Amino acid sequence: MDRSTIGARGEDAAAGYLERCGMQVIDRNWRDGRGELDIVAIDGETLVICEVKTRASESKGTPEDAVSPAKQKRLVRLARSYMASAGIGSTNVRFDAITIRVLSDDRALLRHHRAAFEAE
Amino acid sequence: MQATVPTGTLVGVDAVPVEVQADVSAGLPLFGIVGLADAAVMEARDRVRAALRSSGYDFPNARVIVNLAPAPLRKHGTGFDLPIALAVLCATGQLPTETFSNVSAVGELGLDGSVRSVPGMLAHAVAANGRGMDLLGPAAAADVVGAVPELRYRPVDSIGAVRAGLPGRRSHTSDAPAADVQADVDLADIAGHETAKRCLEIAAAGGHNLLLVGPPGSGKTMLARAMCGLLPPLTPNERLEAALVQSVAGRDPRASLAGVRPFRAPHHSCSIAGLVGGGTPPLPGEISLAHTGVLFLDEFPEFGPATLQSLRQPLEEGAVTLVRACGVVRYPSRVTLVAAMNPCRCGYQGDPARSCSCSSPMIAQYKARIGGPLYDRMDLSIRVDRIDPSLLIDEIASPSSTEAARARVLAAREFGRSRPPVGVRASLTRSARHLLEAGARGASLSGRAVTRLLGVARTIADMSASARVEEEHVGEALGYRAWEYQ
Repeated sequence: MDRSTIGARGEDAAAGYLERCGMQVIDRNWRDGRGELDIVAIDGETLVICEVKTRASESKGTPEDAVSPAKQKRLVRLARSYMASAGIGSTNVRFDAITIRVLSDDRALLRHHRAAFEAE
Repeated sequence: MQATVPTGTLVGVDAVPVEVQADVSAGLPLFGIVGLADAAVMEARDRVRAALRSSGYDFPNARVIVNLAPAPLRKHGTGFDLPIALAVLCATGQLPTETFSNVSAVGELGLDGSVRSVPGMLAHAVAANGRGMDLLGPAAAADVVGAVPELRYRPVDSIGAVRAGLPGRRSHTSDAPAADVQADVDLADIAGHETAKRCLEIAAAGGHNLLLVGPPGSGKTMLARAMCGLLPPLTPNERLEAALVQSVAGRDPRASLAGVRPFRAPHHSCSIAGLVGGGTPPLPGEISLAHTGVLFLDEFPEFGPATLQSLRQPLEEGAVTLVRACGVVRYPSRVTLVAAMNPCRCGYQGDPARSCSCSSPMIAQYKARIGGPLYDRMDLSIRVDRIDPSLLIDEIASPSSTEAARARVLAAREFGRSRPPVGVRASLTRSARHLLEAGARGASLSGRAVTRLLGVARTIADMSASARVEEEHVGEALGYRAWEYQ
């Protein structure tokens, strides 16, 4: 399995997980010219922007490490343009991260970090 | 929703009013603090968030902006933690918004929600009282702020405790009991040196600066340490003044509140900022920590030349004015300066028993380290020479004791207060005036030196309960300026 397949399978798993948690996934892989939002969901009144990181090995650091401050900044910027293009004005927003560590072909460890970071 | 909680930030010994305004609105999650806050205030974000969560409150997943008004004033310190947390609670409806209409708050938060004391609690108490507000603050500071009359203090030990409403008022506790004066050296423990002891008494009675000059090991330091025991207790106003400086410097003000005059003895490696105050944010220096008490500078000429000269203005004005980019800060510095030095570099100039190895230019150079302007401000300067070894070996009891000397000092101060308030010039007798004029001309004393000499003569007259300043009083005062003109 190559890296992009692993990533796509991770995002599917994460979206399924969020739905099972009672959230409504409204957008996947939304992109503008500068980047991509993995999952956009609605949790009650709150808009949830969720970044998914899947790793098959930790040789290049944990999946949590990949959500670096620079990445967070990028996501905040993307969230703003998403809200602008979707016409969402004043609502509460939460930035979540889901990290998935693949253990074997059919086993993985999923962690959901609610409110993982905020706009600086 | 918006909410406001009053608090203050320290500028000098005052807590200047600051309003903590919090605005919570929907939007990208953010916890921002604006309003010229320093690093310690910015760190409040993490403490506030953790403290609220661990105390069972909700930290909003929303856009939280905290403004510290007035915005142009620099804010520093961790005392903003509590008012910021309370403003967030009010703005999110977890506390009634009107709770803080007449209550200001100050305190640092622990991650567990505990409320901790911060430097300057006393200054915050004085400021809240002046604004007619209650003060909400750490329970640990209750006994210190109790010294501010009429203050309505609401002590709280954790932020979880305000959920049920603000804690009750604790008003002014009784005055702190007068503490025993603790001198580490009693005059009776010092053999000989009767003239020096007399000078200590005069200095204590009139608050005059004193310079002790003598060879190494002659007892200068012991004499200076004995000075503590001679000082009269602080008046209630002085207690608060002295305690305020201790409090804003982050030191325990309870000794000052109990009436003990401070005694500060910084080492001669002390920097200018250490001696007269400075730093970012500015803190009081040794001379302000010694306010209302004694500043003892041992090895006087060994202090850096710039450090020594920085003493001139604070000694003259009784206050230090620090001008920094962030503004002007003023700390009180009314001290009695006691300085000790060797007469020359080797230390033995004028010693009858050992010969001095310094050349006269070297001696002149050594003395010049102090410089005229500072010598001028030393009202009493005397030699402290080595004493006869037999006095030490036989442990001959000294005729003086701290207790008796202190009684004389208190009597002199009392006499000074009770005599008719006539200027010292008008109370000079004719012969005293002649002697003063002759002496001042003979030693070519500066105007300042003459003024200070008059002050010493007045104190000496007070010590002998004389309303007039007689020839003998002026004569004795002149004698205590003799060394510097040798």
